[in-house]
Amino acid sequence: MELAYNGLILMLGAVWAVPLGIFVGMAIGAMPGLNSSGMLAVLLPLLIMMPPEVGLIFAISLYAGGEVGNSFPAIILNIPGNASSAVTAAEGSPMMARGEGGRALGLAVMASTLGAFGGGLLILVATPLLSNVALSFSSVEISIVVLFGLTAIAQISSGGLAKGLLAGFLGLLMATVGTDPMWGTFRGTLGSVYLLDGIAIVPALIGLLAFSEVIRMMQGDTSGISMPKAIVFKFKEMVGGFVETLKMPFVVIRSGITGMIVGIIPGAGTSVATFLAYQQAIAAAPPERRAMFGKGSSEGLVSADCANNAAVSGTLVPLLTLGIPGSSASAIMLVIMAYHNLEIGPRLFSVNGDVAYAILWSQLLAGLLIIIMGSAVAAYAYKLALIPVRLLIPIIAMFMLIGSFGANGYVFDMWLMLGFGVIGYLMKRYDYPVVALLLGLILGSLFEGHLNRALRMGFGSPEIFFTRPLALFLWALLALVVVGPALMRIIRRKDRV
Amino acid sequence: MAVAGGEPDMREEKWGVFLIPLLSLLYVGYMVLEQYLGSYRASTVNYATGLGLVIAVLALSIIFGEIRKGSAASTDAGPEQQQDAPLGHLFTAKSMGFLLLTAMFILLVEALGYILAFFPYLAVILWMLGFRPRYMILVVAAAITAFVHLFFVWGAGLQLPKGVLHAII
Repeated sequence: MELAYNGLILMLGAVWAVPLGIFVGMAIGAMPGLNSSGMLAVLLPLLIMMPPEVGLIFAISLYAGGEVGNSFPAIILNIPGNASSAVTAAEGSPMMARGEGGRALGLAVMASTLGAFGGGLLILVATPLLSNVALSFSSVEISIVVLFGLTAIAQISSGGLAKGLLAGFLGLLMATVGTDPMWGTFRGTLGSVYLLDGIAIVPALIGLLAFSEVIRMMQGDTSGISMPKAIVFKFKEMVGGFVETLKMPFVVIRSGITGMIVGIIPGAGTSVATFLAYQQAIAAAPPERRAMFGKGSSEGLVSADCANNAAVSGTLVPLLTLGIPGSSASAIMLVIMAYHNLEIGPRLFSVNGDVAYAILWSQLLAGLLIIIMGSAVAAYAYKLALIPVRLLIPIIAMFMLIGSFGANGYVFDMWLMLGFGVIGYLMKRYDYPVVALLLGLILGSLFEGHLNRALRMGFGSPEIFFTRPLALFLWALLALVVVGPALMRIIRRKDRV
Repeated sequence: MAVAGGEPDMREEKWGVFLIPLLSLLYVGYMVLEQYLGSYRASTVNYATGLGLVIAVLALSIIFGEIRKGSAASTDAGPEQQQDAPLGHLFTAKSMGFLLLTAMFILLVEALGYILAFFPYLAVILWMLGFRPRYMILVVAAAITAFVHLFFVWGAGLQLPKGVLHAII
């Protein structure tokens, strides 16, 4: 209880970072082609310069704001900025075409608020409890949890399990570059003194998440979008949307819980949460209302936006309890935590509990602020979608180059960013999950350390990984992640026959 | 990139699908061989070898999977056959130009300094992307370079390479 109070005080000291993060996130989310995690990567050098609680609160607020901001051009211009706002575009833009744009924005903003606030409340209660469970994890269990995280991301990735695992294990191998922590020998440095401390995470992260996106933007049309006429909304219509959302508590609760659970699963992210909640909304709707889906259904819009924002809170759970980032945004948060030497993993709440609680409180505040800021920004944010990509690209390129240089002050890190940018681009092009490589790279040293410690616990024998009950339970979960989807497919096929 | 008739060029380098697994195999080969040939402790070598083995198995399975998919598509190809949408060129002239420009910038930033490197880098990117009118290219490139100086160097105290201008700035 004392920690929660200390966390609240700490959060109040950095309270300005919440509205600022949400505002920047909404602005970035409103620009198609830019995603909040890519932008977080670009801003990482600035975030690590801030005190840890400020950087972390700003990062998660920006991520949350980005998920709301995506909805504005999706509804108004029918331009989904990313996969998670595709449903919002599908349901919101027909409403807009019918002249109900204000209502659609009201539904989206209120659903986002409820998703973020509900998710924030749930993680505030559940995360410290889960962290207590995680405290019973030894090096054996932590090693398996890292593998579990990689496997879960691999299984969910669109390219399939093999590509996901390849990316994850490649990340683990890349993390061995530098000085061997046990024996002090240099590994895989290619003779470069700049790699003696390992591959710098900040330029790698900027390259994989942001630079790769810019290469993708350069591959496509860079002329931008033109908007012929001015769009006007009445605030009264938005309020109508707020009230309408409050009249569907079941849709909100169901979508919020779905979003939250999906958010907890590493790699699943907001897109999976959105589509799952949307499917549930279709399945649960009475037949006469089901026909409205895809043509401007309020239930469809609310389910997607609520799940989307609840998932943002969910991604914090594995990060704060196990030190396993489940998404690109939480990977960036992990880098900030590591930079400030915060305790990463199950002991975070006992060593830096105030910071952990400050992050959780900030999510709750973010939930409350989304409705105020969303209402104010919604009617104007779509205009950001009209900024030509050809102007954004050089600005982003400048931020990326300076960002990769800034952390260590080496020009070599700019090369590293460029190299990882090309790798990230190739991975995205051929359906390899970039976040799996990133997770391997970030958690590699932790995994190696715990693996060595576990083997020492077992006097050099790997038998210890299969004798502890908790380890066996985690192996069973891991096996379920690997074979579960295949088993489900077989069962479904048999049902059809 | 456009072909005659104004249609977008959707030709695709088929070998592209092998790039990541082949690069992974190459990297594994380097990491494992370096440790086998050098004087590394057994635990260090075993860890890299273990990871390398998993990566090699996965990379080979992806390569064989792609070969099988390719040969199945070529034998069964018919008008009704559902094929993956082509991805287009691996790198277009624009994206390749951007990469080369960025490489040039990094190569020259230490010698020229950030002001003399950023200004032409940004101006050429803007021109390449079709930003017009032309005088605005110079204005925008100068404005971004000024922002870098005022915000990052002057404001945040970042020590960017000053190059030939080190005596002035």
